[in-house]
Amino acid sequence: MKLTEQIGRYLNKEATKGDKKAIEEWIQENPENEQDKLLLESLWNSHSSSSKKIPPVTFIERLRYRMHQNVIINSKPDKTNYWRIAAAIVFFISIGTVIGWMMKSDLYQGEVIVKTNKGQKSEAVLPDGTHVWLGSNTTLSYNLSEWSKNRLVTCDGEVYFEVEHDDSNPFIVDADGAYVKVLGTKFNVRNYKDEGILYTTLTEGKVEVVESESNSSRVLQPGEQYILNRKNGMTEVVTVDVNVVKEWKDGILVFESVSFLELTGRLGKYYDVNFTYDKDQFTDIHYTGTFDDLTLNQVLDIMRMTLPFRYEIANENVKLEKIE
Amino acid sequence: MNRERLNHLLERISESDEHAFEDLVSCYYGRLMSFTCSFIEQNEVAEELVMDAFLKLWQQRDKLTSVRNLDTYSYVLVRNQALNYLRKKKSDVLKLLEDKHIELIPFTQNPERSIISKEALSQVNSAIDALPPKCKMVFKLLREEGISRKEAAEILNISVKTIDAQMAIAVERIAKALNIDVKKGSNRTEVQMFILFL
Repeated sequence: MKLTEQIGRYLNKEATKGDKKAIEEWIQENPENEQDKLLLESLWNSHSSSSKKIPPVTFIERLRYRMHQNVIINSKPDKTNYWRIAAAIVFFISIGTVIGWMMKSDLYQGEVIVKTNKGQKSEAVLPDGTHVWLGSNTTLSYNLSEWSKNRLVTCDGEVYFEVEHDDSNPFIVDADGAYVKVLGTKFNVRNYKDEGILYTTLTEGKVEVVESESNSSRVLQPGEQYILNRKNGMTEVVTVDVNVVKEWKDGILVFESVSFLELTGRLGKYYDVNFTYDKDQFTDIHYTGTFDDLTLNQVLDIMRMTLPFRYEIANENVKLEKIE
Repeated sequence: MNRERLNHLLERISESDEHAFEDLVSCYYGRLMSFTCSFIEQNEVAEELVMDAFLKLWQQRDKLTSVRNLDTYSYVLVRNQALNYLRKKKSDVLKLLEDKHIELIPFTQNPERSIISKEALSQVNSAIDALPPKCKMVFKLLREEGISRKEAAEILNISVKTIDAQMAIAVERIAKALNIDVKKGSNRTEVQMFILFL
């Protein structure tokens, strides 16, 4: 038995009787060894208790969200995730950009997906402290192992971003071939695939929108909304009331002189229902109103105060009929 | 954290008390991060793996009170997360600890009772810093985390015998740096050598 091994156990306070005896004998051989033993012991015990590092606030925040939410980490090559990875690869090929290819090869190395189902809303904090609010039926994903080099997220659905400022590492939102590039700011991206229109609305700071197909770019000012119509490739920039896009995240729906078609479209998305009505009955209506965290029934009842109609809700279908 | 407080926390956690869970997280975060960073280079990834381990703990909260040793259990959880991650990256798991930087808390000494010189101290510290990775990891777990050899063996998935052997290497190198003779019967050896020279 080696003495070093026995001293090792002794230092860890796990010495056997035999170990202690051997160490005693060693000390007997030379009185100086007693000093050496004490020295080793004092060094072993010298650390001021280890790793008192407390978790950063962003860690606790993210943990808190994830304790409640539907966040999937592909840490295991789980069969059920294959379709998602396959879909992501197809999606990347379809945009065919360099960034897409780079991401694809890294997909297995820690893609994080934050997802909401229909009618759900969710909040999350990204590793850099960037705060995101996800609207209904939205998927936000990013690659963890690339994160320190590329703050790149992909987004299908509606997400409000409050981006943590970092000069050296721009934050990029990949919205199907259009990129929103920022340093640190607050903005909203609405990019539902089924809508075929990308809306980027800036509430604070500065963002640049780059459209890869036409290779055009546009810098937005606060209050400006960039609209890309994917069906015809047309882009336009309009001035909007930023409260409209900012407030959905707080559960507040704001409508300002919107057409009935847009009103029902947005309510439908928010509450995950389909509206059916005779379009001719509801022409030339512009609705203005704010709904603060209300149920669909409450919203419809409020609307009925100024707009005479009756409604019928059956599952996901809402039937409207005007009362003459 | 003492046994009693930990048990109390675990009891509250098993009743889905989130504040209690956050207390536990604060307590374990540093050590699990420092452990994970020994395998994983990128800090963000390490943090995510540690978070996954915590989330697993939370998901199993109703069974936590029956966990025999939470220290070992949480280390094993995070170790498995790290292994899965590395396996996916097709890293050689056996080489896990090689080429990775394991940060050790350096030896210090009480200035009022200084037993060794600054030079000697720095020599010891560079000696432990130069230990082979596996040895360093064992040393770290035992000294800094104060866990038993058996627990360390479980965490690193090696035998207690290997732990002892690795610790022996560490003790040997430290002793060498301090000029301590850790060979038993070395006086006798000298005599024998003398005889031999005669």
